[in-house]
Amino acid sequence: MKKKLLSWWADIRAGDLNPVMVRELRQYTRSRFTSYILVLMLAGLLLISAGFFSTSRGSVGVSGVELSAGSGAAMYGFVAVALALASMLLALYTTLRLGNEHRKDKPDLLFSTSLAPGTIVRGKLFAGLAMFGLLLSLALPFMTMTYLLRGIDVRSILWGLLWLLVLNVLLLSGAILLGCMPLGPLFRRGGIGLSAMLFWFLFMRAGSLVGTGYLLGVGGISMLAFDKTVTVIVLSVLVTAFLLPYAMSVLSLSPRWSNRARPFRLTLTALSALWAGLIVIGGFVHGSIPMGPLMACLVPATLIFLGMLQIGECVANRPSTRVLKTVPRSWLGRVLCFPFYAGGANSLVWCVSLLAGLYGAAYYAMEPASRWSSRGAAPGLVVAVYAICYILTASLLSGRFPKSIREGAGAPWLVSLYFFAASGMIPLFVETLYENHKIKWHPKIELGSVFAMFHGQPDLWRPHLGVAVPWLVLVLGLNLPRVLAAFALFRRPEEPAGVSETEVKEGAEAVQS
Amino acid sequence: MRVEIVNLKRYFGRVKAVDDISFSFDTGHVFGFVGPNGSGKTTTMRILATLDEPTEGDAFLDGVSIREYPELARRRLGFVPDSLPDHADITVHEYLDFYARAYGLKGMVRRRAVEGVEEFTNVTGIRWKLIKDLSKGMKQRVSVGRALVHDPDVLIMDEPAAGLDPRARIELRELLGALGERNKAILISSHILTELTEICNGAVIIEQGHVLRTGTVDELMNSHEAEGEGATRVRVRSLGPGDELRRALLEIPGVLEARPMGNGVVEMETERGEEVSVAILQALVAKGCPVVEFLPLRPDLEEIFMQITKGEVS
Repeated sequence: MKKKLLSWWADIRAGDLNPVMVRELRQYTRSRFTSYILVLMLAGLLLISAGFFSTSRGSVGVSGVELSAGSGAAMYGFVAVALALASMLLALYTTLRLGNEHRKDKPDLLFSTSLAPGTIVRGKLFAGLAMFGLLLSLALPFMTMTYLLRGIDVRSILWGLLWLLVLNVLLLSGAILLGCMPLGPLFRRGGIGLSAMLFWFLFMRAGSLVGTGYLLGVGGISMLAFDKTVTVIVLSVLVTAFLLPYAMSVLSLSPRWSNRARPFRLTLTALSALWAGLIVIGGFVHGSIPMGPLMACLVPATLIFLGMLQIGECVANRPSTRVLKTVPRSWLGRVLCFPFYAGGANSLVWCVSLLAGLYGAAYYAMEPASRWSSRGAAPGLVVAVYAICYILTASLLSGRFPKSIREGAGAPWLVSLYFFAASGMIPLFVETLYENHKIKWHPKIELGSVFAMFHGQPDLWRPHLGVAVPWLVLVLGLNLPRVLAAFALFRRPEEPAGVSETEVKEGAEAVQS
Repeated sequence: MRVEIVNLKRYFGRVKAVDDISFSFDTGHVFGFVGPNGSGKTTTMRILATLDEPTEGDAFLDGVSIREYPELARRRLGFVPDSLPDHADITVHEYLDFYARAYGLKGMVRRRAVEGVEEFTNVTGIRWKLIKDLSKGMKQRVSVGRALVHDPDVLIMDEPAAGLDPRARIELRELLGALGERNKAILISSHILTELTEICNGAVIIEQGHVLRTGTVDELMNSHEAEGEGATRVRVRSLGPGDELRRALLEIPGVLEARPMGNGVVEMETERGEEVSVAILQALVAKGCPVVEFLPLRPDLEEIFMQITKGEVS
């Protein structure tokens, strides 16, 4: 460890930093696009400050103090918006550049070097953060002015900046993911648009939470008064929102000969275990956790898992001989490792296990005292069964389309996501039958609607379970043969193929020296 | 270093871009990779450069599979694509420096490596120019420099002369000559076959994803001659008029056809065998023809290529 740290420090001193970061920064600083963003942002900030100062001067008088007091906070909001917009443009530039490098019709020379996918993704991320630092340095004098105008304290300014930084990290990791995925121009542009909307939503949401002092105790409210639950949930969502795109970017860039599924699935499994642990602990500490907030977290989690499963489907390929050499010889080891190896069936097993675990933890935490006797948590169980049914069905459907992500296939994603969006019709149909054939339309026609339907009608769980369980049995049965077939092929090769790992390492060292 | 391509296949859906290709070449060899457009040259080269994966088969560098251990292959391979991808806002030096870093070269080693390739590829004078501002020839030099920066044993060059003007081509040929002297194994694809004949020790000719012929240039020519229709081409020049020489030649047994080429030069086709050539020359001298030049012409790569390929695309 010490040796590693010393070597890392020596590399930094010698200027041997992440190659991708160095190149990106060189290109960013020379790019006209960056100059335009900086000039536009500066012009915008100057206009904003000029506007606010002229307003303040004009309002000197009886109510001058009040107007001035409000100006600082308002101007801070405008400066933050300008900074967020500039960050968005920069992230867009990152996506386009990376997508351009990664185009199928171009020689991907970046991927002909010995750079690891993680190094490439981190390099892009660090370079983006450095550019955010540059934008921030431009905005800081104006943020100081907001303090001079009054109406906002230093702590609020700093917390606001922290939020902007966090959102920028998320934005960059999402932008890098979009750039890394071998999508066609249409898919990429669509993805950019959606990400921009999502970022804007998050930015405004965080802004409103920060502004009202609900989150992280900003805006004059004591740090001790902020809602711990909300902050913990938001922070865990943010960590996930950063780690997932990062892991998915690495997965997208990883070559087929590596077990590219493993780092990503391990990351998400660890995060889910953490969530499940927190849920169970919360259940014990509080006696029970209300179903509302839990399902509000778990339903989006299901959507995320579905997306992950689709990526698993699209990069589905049988592990190479080299990867299979790492499969444990024991039967138990094989079973435990199976979900963490590349392959469509492996991905499905991983996804379903994870979801079952999460919903199981939630079910446990809802009624920890009398979880087996009470029917209070039954709606949660129905949601869990539906969720697993959706995933198994989506997997079956998307399996009918070309899978190779390398060949730019987008159909499996679309099919399963459309199915997922429309599949709320199934529980809706159940409900319609239950309510004497009276069709009742819900604004949300996805999994969330199942949960929404239980509000005020707890008895609905019976007919839903009557549909969900046979559905589960059916899709389990349909998926089982391919899972078993994949497992039968998933074994360590008896004969070593090619040269041994040691020989390769020696060879690599010889080449290095 | 021995590069072996074994039963390589690459299918894109139903299209068999590469269908069971096998050949090998060694360090010090400049191997030409020849085939019509769409014959699978670029796909094979991309697979060798680990930028694509074969559907079946493998390639080995000294016995190490590039499919199983591409990271090892990447250290020992340099790939020159047909055109340098557009890199905005980066200078030649920065570009080479980036790839040196990407291949794990550090500190002084990196600086020396970059300066070394800049000198070797003669781009030192333009090292601070932006890549996008370079001419095609200069970009190709930078591309070769990029492929050489980590000093690989094997160089894969996909149409490096495409779109170059005559001067840039000559410079590239000189560069390749210098590389050959550095004992690299080079696989080069090109449509300019006369140039390949001059540069290459050996060649592979492919069409529709299949290898039609492979071997050293001598082997290819000999096999072509052995498979020929029995004609040998000979170029004869005399001090007299070409028509007289042609008439004289057509009277000699063994001469199948004679065509005047101007300036007293006649190209003839004779029956095969060195004895026939000797007899024809003796007969010419006996007839009193003032023969200045009598040169049996060997088929070049272009001729062999045209004869054995059909120009079909897979």
